Amino acid sequence: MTALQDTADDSRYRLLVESITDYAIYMLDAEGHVTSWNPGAERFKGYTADEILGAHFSRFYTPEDRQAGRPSKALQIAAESGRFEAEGWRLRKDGARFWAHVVIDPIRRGQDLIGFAKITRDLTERRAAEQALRQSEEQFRILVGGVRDYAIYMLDPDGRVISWNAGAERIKGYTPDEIIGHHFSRFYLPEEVEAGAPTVALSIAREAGRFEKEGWRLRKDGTRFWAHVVIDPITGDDGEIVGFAKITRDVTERAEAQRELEAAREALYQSQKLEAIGQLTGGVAHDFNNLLAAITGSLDLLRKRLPFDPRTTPLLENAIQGAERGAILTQRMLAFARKQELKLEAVDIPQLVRGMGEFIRRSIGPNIDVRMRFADVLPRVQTDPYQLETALLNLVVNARDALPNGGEISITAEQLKMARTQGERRAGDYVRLSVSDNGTGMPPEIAAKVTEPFFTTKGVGKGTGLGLSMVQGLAGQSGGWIEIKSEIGHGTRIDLWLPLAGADLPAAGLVVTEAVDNAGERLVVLVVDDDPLVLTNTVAMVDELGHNVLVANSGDEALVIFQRHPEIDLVLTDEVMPGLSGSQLAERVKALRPTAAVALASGYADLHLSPGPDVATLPRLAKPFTLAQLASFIEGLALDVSQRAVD
Amino acid sequence: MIDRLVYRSHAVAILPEVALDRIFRSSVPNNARMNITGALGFCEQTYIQLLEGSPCAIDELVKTLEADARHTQLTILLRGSSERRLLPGWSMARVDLAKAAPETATLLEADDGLGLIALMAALAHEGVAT
Repeated sequence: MTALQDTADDSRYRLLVESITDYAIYMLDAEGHVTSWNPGAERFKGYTADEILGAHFSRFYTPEDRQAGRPSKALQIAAESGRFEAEGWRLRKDGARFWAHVVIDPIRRGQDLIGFAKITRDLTERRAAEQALRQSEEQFRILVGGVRDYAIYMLDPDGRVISWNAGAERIKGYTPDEIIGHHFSRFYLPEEVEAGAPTVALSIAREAGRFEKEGWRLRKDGTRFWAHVVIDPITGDDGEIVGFAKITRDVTERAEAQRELEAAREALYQSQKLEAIGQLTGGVAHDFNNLLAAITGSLDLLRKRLPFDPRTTPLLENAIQGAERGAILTQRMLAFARKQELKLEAVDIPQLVRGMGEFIRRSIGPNIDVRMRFADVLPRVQTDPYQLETALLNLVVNARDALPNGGEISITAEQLKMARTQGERRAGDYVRLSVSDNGTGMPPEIAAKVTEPFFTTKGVGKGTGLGLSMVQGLAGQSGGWIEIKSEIGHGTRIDLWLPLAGADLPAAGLVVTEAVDNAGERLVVLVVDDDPLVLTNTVAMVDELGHNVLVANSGDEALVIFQRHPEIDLVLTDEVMPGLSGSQLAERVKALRPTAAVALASGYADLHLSPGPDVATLPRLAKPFTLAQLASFIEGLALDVSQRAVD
Repeated sequence: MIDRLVYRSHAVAILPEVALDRIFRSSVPNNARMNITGALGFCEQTYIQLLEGSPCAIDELVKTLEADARHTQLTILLRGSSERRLLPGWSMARVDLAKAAPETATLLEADDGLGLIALMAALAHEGVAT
């Protein structure tokens, strides 16, 4: 019965074992010879049962293992400890290796060892997969660890740092030892921590599966950087969140570049707008100037024609003053767009120099004495007072720089007559304004050169060479010149020769009520302007001065009238007009009759539109002009006409 | 009597070349309203501005300027009173200090307020690039 049962069990096991193909299950005798073989063994060892039965199992081992006696050792361990289990390389029939998991169990009958049961699994694929996994994990670790441009690190579910890469160390400044185990909220600004931003970030990542934002973060040293942050939740097999992957980029530079770009763009836009405003301003100021010309001209005439009335005259004066202030304003607007014109006035030199005395003394330093000496009676000179003040300031700075150890600067003025014209010195009456110092002086070859633009005689730490060329320009435009006298060790003296002011010049800084005498000579004047308002006004003024007036609305019309009326003495024309411009008209008129006088009455802006050499020589009357200015202007022209008649 | 003042300051962030247009856009009307005249230029990152006006207007403008974030380290180099303005025709003349570059730099180095005023007024009167 027992035998039968055994036989039945036997066959059942045999069936079981022989159906197994994933495991090599076979038996060895006590010495290690193969005594049974199943399909699994055949499948991955390559031998059929016939080929292998009776062979020693050591042939499955590698030569090295055989050499080392591993097969017998395995049997010995199995026999002694009841089980041997190992993984290792084994050989197939074709000599190829495979990674095997081997279990050897001793089979005993009673006390006697009768053989071994051997179960071998082919783990090559699993091993390869494991190795690949290990390798890729290692590569990934190296990759993440080596990334320097991104901070890549992990947080546990509570937000504590559990890994740290090189990028994180570089960007945030902490070494792994310093930061691992700490909560990531320390990277946030205190006010953001207060507002709960780190917790919010994690809960968004947890719920939405991702958190992405840019914002300020703190480095270890407390400095801020603009960070781009992504937080991804990491879930385990069971779907539970086991932590967070955090990737932070320092985009400070990008953000700054972006901001600068935007600022530059904005500035460019503004500058273009400004340019447009500048052009607009020029245009508006020009039109406005024309309107002011009409207003001041008409008011001027009214003042002249109306008898004094305490009820109306102050109002009229008020209106005139308002219009004059408007003219000053438009001048400033034009000045913003273009170079400013020299404005010649009758200047009281002692008054001007004394007016700037306090400022000079205060700013020049204690070891320099500034003295001013003027003749008791000194006539006014013809110059631009503001430019003269600037010129004097530059001369004083130059003198100061020639006195490194202190000394004396004198500003003096006296009236002198130049008897003969010699070079740039023209005969006539002048005031000589001098600025002198008792300082280091210059050799003559340098003194001769100092008025050249950009020339500087000075060493490091001392003023400018620009000043003198400006001073010279001013003297020349005022109808005078400058002279430089310098001697080494004795000092330098610079003389500004300025012509006496004519009676026609307005006095600087004074409001003058202008008295106008009717012109002695009656002229025939052709007034040309495309703006009827300005035209009417100019005509009324010319008429008021007692001249005969002809009128034209354009350059072309003026030319026709001029040809019809050979008695015309003077053509007074606007510059900017549709069709023939003022200067083109002047050219035609001169070609027709060279003795005819042509003058341009123009706004400041217009004067810059006509740079031609022919036009530059034309007499100009700046708009807006007063009756007195028109009178003296025409008087000057009439004089020229009579001189030409004498020639 | 007017007060005349020159200060230097350090330009912040964007280039003065670019910023200047924007400054002029706001300062010209503002100065005109306050009847302040003057000139403005720069040498590398340093702004230099000359201001002329009534003492009250100058005080008010200096307060505004000190709060202006476009520059820092505003230092008044010189302030004094005078009878007349140097640049009455300019709400704000834009002066080309680069034209006088080495001199401007040495004047700045010496914090020479008087020299800078003379230079800026001369440059403004000599003409301005448009």
